[in-house]
Amino acid sequence: MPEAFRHESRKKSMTNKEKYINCFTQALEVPAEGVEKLEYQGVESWDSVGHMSLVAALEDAFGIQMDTDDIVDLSSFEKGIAIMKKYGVEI
Amino acid sequence: MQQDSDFQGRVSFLCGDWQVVALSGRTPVLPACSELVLSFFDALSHTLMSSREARAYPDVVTWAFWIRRASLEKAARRISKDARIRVGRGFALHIAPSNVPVNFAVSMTSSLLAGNITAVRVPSREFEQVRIICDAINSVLGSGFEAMRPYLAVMRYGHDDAINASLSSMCDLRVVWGGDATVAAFRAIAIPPRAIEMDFPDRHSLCVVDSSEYLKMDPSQVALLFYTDTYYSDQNACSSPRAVIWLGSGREEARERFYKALHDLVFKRYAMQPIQAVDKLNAFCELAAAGFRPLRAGSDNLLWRIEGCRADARLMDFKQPGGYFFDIDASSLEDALPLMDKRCQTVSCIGVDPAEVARMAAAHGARGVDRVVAVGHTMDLSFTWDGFDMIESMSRIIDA
Repeated sequence: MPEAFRHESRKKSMTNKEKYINCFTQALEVPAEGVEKLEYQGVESWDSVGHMSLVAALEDAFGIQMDTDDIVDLSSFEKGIAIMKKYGVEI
Repeated sequence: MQQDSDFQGRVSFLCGDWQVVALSGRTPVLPACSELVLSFFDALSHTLMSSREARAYPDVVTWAFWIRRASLEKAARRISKDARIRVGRGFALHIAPSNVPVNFAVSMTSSLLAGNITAVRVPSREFEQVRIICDAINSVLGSGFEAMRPYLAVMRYGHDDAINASLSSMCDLRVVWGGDATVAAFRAIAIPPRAIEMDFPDRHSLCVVDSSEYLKMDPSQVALLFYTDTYYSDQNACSSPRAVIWLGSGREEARERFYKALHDLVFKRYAMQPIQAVDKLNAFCELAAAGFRPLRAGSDNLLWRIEGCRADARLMDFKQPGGYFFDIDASSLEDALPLMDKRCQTVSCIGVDPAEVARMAAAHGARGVDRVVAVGHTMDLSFTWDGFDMIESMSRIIDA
């Protein structure tokens, strides 16, 4: 894949937590403060379109392929941490 | 092409150029789900998902999400379960429909994954979605995907029989989306003996509701899902339900609640064109003139709800987009069978198990019903469409 398409959060120096937060701030265009409290449809940008951006960002950042059920279940920042665990990603 | 110079002025290329078409006979086909195509789509997905411009169009984002690597690899795994070698058929000519802007990209996706050299004619109406996707394709082709250039052209030209005939004479696969008239017009244009044709003519779709189950649901949530299936595309898509079929107990209460919630949402969100009101009235009069005894419930033009008609196959001759629904009372699913004729594509379900509908249609040998989904999912993208497995149908097997 050309370098231009790599997601920023793939950079090696970041911790998983930082990458995870980055996915939310970039995909949903929200500030890092308060990100832990985010829920689906809790902010305007986390609508169905924002949700797709978020899933794509997470898959990209952690090199995983999420199942449809997990994509549907990803209803909050907190919930996402548990889902990432299923893919061997400790946040 | 012999008439290259004649045609060049009449065709504009949004992506690729004449070379793609002219050299298509010599360009090697690709294996199905090749790494080249998968990574091309993944790069395209990234470009669109991170584009602010694209985000304004849910249909563009939905397609971009669908073509990301994780999603396409699922399709690729399904194809590779069959150990036989699968390759593209050759030069694929796609005629995209004029009613759904992103459809050209959906058709192109299966075709490239199948391994074909793919030329798509997009509608003459200049949808923003088409421009955004084509801009992204050009940007990706120019950044590391030169190898994809011989495989993709997106073109726009008017109704031009000479161009259609010339392109058709070269193709190995022709895919025509459109109204019945478009399909009929292309059927009259010959394709080579070995070529195959996949046509997607006009279809209709239905919604079935279990009233007592519906009454347990949040009406505004269901309204939003139903709105997505219908008004979002001006009820123009083949998969947009035209009739709502009410089953079970509590039907009166359920339909009042359903249409009120839907009307509230439509009132807030939907921009109706004056011509749509005229068309709805006209369709209603034609229905009455044809011997039906329709009753119109509701009091404004945003949502026309036609009562008093039984599930009769002829009803669908009078369907109308823009918020026009046949409201049908049924004592069982079987009552809806007359509407599940060969023109019936999608059945969306509210409180009804989709598998039950599919089993019922199959058990009665219905000629229609290609897909049964939960409400809100009629526009979902899938590699199975109108009963075709798209990638398989667009490729061929080398049996060894």
